[in-house]
Amino acid sequence: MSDSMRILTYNTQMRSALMEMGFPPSIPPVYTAPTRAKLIARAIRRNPEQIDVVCLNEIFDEPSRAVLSNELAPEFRFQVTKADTFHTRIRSPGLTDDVMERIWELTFGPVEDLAGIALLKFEDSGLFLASRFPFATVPTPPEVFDLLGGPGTFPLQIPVVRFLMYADSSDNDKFAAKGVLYARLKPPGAGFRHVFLSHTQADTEAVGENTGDRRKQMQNVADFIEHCIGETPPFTQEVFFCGDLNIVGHGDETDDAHPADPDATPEWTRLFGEPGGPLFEQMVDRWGRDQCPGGSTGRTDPGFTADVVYPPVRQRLDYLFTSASSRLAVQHLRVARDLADPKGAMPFLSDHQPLLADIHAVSSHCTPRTAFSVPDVVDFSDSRGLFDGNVVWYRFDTPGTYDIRLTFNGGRTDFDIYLGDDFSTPQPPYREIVDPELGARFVLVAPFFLKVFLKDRRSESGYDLHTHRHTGRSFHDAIVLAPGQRIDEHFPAQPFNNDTGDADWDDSESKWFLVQTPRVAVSQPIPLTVTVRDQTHDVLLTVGRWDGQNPPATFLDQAGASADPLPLSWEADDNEHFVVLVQRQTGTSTPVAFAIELETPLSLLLARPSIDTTLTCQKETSGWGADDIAVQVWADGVKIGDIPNSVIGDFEDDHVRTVGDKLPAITPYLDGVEVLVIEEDAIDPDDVGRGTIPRVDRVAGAPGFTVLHTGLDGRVQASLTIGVDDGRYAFACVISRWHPSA
Amino acid sequence: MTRLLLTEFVGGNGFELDDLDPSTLSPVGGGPLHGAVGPSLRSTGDALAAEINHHRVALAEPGGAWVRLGAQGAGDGEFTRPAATAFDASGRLLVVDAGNRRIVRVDDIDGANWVAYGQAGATGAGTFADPRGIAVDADGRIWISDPGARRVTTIDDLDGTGWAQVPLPAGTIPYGICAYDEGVAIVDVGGRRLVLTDGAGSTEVVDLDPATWIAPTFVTSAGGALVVADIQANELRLLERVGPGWTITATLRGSPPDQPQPLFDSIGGIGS
Repeated sequence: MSDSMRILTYNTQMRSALMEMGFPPSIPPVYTAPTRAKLIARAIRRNPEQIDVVCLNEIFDEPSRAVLSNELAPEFRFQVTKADTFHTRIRSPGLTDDVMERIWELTFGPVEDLAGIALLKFEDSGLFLASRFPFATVPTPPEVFDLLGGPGTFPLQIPVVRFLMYADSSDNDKFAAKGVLYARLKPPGAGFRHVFLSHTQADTEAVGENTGDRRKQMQNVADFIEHCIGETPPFTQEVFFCGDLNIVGHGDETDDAHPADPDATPEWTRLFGEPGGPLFEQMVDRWGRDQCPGGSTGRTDPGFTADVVYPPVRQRLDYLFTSASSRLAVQHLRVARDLADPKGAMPFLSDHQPLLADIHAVSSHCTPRTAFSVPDVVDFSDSRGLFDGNVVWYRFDTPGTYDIRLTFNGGRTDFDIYLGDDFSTPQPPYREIVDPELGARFVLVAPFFLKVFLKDRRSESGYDLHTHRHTGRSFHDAIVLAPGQRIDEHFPAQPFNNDTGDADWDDSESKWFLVQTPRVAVSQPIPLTVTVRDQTHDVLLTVGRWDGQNPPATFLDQAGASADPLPLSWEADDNEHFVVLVQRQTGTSTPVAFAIELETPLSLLLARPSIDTTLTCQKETSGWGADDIAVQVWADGVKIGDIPNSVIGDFEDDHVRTVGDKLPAITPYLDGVEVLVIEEDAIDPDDVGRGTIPRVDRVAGAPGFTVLHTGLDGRVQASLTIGVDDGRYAFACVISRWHPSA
Repeated sequence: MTRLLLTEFVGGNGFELDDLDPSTLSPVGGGPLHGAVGPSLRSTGDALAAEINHHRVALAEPGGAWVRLGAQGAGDGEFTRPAATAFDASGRLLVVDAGNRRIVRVDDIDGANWVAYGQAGATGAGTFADPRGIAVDADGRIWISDPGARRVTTIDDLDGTGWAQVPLPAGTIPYGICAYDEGVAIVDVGGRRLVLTDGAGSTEVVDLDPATWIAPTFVTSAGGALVVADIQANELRLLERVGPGWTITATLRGSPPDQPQPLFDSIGGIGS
């Protein structure tokens, strides 16, 4: 049987009606919860990756709990639907009941007596687990029979499920039975999977407010794990720990994680990243210590999973740990943004994003960390086999324009490409171009990682992978120039190419480059400049226009001199096509090196993946009641988004709404994007907050605009602060100079 | 023993109970209301509540079914988000018509002799920003809490005579209100405290411990004691004077609907 296991952890923000009830008592936000529950459950069930174990946080709302349980039950038949102070609700085929702490004690022995603090727990833990794998069970101790009565209980075997409430918590969290849930799962034909799930103490107004509570809670977790599996590290069994831990995640190889000043050591390092931390010896944070440790590894994805109201306003708070001694590999850990996309049906699904882990027995090159390092060659081929859910990763450290073809025998096999700083968003092919012989075309920065996988993990296949990197030798082999991406190229000390009919001028001994403007309407001419610099010998720079279908290109302009840099500028409309030729002037026996770069002020507002574009209420206006917010978005003076209050909903402190799904996927602009946040109650000029998203080239110093992450490909993830009366909102967005789909 | 009337905001049911004894909890009106808030009891035992989500008020005689009055609107016979109710000394119905920023009085649930008082505003006599609570004191004065304007005002009658603004501690956001002693008890939802005042300068502030109170919102009197509802804890708490301070002497916690024997699922208001 398979070692494959796919586990999802997701804080779904299904707070109870009571928790959301404010002043005046009204529940416009909270009773979206059952609808959100249905959408989330169905998205999980329909997910093509066939999630095996679903671990949810913040299931406090009872109607939503029922919706989730019922919607998931056809496929996830084994559930812990509720974990409270002294009872845990189990749902498994034919059985549904609350199992009281007394039964757990008789079955598994006592844990800490916390009866004294239980009186103030007005809410349960919010933890919810649903599994395709059955619960492991143990025989019912005789003394338990008397406590189990009637049908619907556990007559012969008791599922190994247990909950430990934390003794230490504070702020509003102290009113909920925060704790750690344990479920021992037994996949058919495989060993036990010991799954622990928690949602630990939150901060309220600043990072690190409640580190003391969290450290104690993490120590509780460490002790509880050892208690439940009956081992001390190194564990011989497979242990998983996941959930929203409310700890800002770091990458283990970054300077931030291990600063020179020990006093500046972040909480993450103290708990997970250095000896002495409660979980350091036992468990590994698979994002920060394995897949994306940052530093010089080329795997630098910050892995944001939540919007918060204090800096940093996007944080990695959701985790998947596996035991340090695990024989299983986390093949891929990604933020499953597709699961959190409301697709316009709701104002939001959650203020967190789900984290999905693909786990399998260790095999060659099965993780980004152990990816096969592809040599710097123009053409690369590899053939391997896949079975039962294993994957093969390839790492490329040379940027460029690639044609990639995958053929296979057996089960349907596919590949995805991820940039080293984004392991969650597969890169789309460049303008959906597929070369009949060479495969799909991609324009990529490096490092990038290619994952080959089975579409149906229960199948097997053999595959042949071929990649071809364009060298600019011909029209069809042209290298795509992406704005802001410097490309270093050279001519070899031998003849490179001959004059062809693909340009109506002499194109011999020329490197071919390609410039295409976006296929979305731009209201103004787009300034374009191609610059050659650092050339070792003189070159001629020529621009020609073509129709986007077939050559030849017609001459447009030319620059040639010993100047360095050597620029050539022109203007274009949207969806225009140009070739740029760099022609050496020094004969074929002299190698010539040069750099080339395309510049344009045109920027793109990228609203997909949609949940990357959000509006967060950092500080509600002081007026009575929730803020009745509407949002307008204007690009270069043209309205591209008009989101009424009835769609985006009312806002109170901490509320996060998804905006991306309510905007066009890609919006080009040359001046700026203005965002209006309108408080519709008793409106006056102060109630309309305005902020401007600058062009990418004007990001530095732009008022109210905070860059959260700059991608390898130049995209900028940022937060725009917008004051509304005496309130404050944050509009998170992604802008870029370019997108392969544009 | 004090008879209390409790409404569920989510489930919409009304319940009567004696003190905080769960064994006396019994349903009122024969069915749920829609967003049942601001309940009150008439001396005859009639139960009155507002349906904030359906813009009506409902009255049930002892053992009888709910009888409704109103529809959405701003005219006579119409309400917009009614938030609280009370009975005046003559047994007439008083309704906080929050969305219309006014107080309405009718003789009974048939709507006879409709009288309205108030208009939108946050300063000056006769204006309301978002009135949410109403109480009639022992002298027949009508007290209205207006958290939107952050003030409590009193009137002697719905013609506006005797209008006064009650001095409150700085920062008070008054919400729940009930007659108490010579004046009223007010829940300050901003400061998480009770303000006991006669409106003439005698004021006592009772701080509610944040370690045990999440969202105290509604209050009603129970003899010399007070019952305060914490809507997020979903709990009623009986506060009694013990020595110089106030002490919780009894509690009754609601429960979510999945419990084997659910009590109330939420609190939309408490009256007596």
